[in-house]
Amino acid sequence: MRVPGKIDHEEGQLSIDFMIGFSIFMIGFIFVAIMISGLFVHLQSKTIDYDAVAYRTSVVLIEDPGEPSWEPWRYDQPVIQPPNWHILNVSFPEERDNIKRLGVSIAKNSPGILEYSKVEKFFTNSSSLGCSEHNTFCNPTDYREKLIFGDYPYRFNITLKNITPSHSGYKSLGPSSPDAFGYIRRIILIKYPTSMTVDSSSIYNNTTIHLNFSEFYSHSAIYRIDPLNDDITINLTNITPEKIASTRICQLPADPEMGGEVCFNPSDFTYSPRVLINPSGNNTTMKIEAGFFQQQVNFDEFSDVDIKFVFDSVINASMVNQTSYVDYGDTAIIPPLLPAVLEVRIW
Amino acid sequence: MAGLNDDAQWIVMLGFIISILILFLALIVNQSALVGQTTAESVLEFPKTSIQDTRNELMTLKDSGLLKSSLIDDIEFLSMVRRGAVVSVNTSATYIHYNDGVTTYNETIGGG
Amino acid sequence: MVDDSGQLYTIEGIAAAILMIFTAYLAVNTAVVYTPQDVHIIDMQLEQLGNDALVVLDTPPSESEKSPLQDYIERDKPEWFGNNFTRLMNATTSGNPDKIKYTATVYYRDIADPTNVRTHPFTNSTTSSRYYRENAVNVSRLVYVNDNPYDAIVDDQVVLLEVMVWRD
Repeated sequence: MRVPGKIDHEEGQLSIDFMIGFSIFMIGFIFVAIMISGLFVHLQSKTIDYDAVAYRTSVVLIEDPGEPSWEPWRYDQPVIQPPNWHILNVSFPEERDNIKRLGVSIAKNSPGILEYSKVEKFFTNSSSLGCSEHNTFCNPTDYREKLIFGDYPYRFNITLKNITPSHSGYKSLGPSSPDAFGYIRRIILIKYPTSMTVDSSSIYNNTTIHLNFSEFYSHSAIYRIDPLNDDITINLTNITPEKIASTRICQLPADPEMGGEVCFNPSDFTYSPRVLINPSGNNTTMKIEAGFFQQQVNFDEFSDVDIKFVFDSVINASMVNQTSYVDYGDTAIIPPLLPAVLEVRIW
Repeated sequence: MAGLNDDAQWIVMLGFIISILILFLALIVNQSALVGQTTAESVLEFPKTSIQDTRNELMTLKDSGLLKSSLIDDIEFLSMVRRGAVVSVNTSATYIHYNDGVTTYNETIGGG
Repeated sequence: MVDDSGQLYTIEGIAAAILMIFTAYLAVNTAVVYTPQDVHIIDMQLEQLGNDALVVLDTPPSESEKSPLQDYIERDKPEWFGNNFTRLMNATTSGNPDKIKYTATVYYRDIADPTNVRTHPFTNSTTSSRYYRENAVNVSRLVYVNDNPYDAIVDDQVVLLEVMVWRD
């Protein structure tokens, strides 16, 4: 029973006006709800971003020679200051800061053709706390700053493997990836360092191995012998290190009238990059590490270099005090460019 | 009808208004996503490999001494017909011009 | 005095709250799993990989040698090209090979009619496959050949090798 003047809350009736308005609203609401299903289609998700970062990382890594990079003087190019970034000793903080980009291609004009010494240096890393005091890159901070870029702390995994089975050379950097990651795969060629082999039967007690740097650097960058950037290896077969009485590395003067040659004793240089003379079986291997000529003895691309060995007289008794002369450029083996595959994963 | 209590209708009305605002915002976001290009599309559109290929071919031919005008004509013709790009090279291959309608590339080789 | 006169407000309040929450949930949570841009990413990865493989094949391994690609075209050996190209494209660092297929064509200028382009198929019956509407990309490379095997008139030419690649 209704009592006039008292508000009745239990009638449960809605006014017609309200019903009409509400119905119109509901029709509009259902229409919009259907539209929402196409709403978030174009928004970026993190997976797409990671693929783009992986692609960019791969381009910076294999199509760029890095910074600082150095190329030998050419008449039609401005002078570029040495050295290449892979020769710098990053245990010094200024040198580490000097490296702005890690790129392992040989030169600007040869994208996709990598220099093995740069690749080796790139994969030299350590994740422990004292990494900045050694000549290794800090994983992951250095790679994030110098290769991947960006504010977000991306995690990465970079792997490299040769395609030719005889030379498998698998290298890996970073942790293994989870199920979802941005990915890119690239195919590249790698240029390996040169070496030469000399047998004791073809040389005398005094042997000079001649390297004419300006002749080497007149060749194309992807095929040349590169003493300033690569290792130089000299194998002496049937000679053990004890039979080597002395070794000297000498730079011949450009102008013979300016004076004699300047010689260095390789064992004077005790810190990297060095000259390593090691036995291997019955033979000796002398390896001049990449960067030795530039950092330790300040040679450049115009130097004319002699490596002079003096052996014990046991080598060739009938030819004592004779000098044999070998040209590195004529006898060195320049390995062919070998294909490899590189995978970059970012998450 | 006059006696129905409509005191609290303002609450539901606010609810409706806020819902409408949310949907309107979603509509704006939806429309804004149609503008712009994804990274992968930009990468596909930029003719990096075509330019690198053209440069590499010209420089290799020039360095080995095999460059002649018929080869330059071949390169220009094939770029136009198959890649849809205008390539224009001078006779001694010191100036390269590449234009595929979206990207233009000019290079002068030599002379510092 | 406690009565139920506030029920109206409560019910209306709950109704409004449910409405707003439902709207916000609907707007935020309607996600589409398949985004069309995925296709472009795969295209980009395939295109870059194909171009890399062609660069590797077109670079001579030692100085003063011919590039392998020039050799394959001059001697008209699509099977050598097929073997090497698929080997490069399907190699991975983990050792599980990829499944990429291709078809190839050589385009060259017709010397008899210099405004015309002629084609020569460079596919190989064992390594290349029929194409059935997969997502494919085209990659191409200019190759210098010293002895065009398809046209006896001219000595040397620059030809264009076009390869269509797709993942099976």
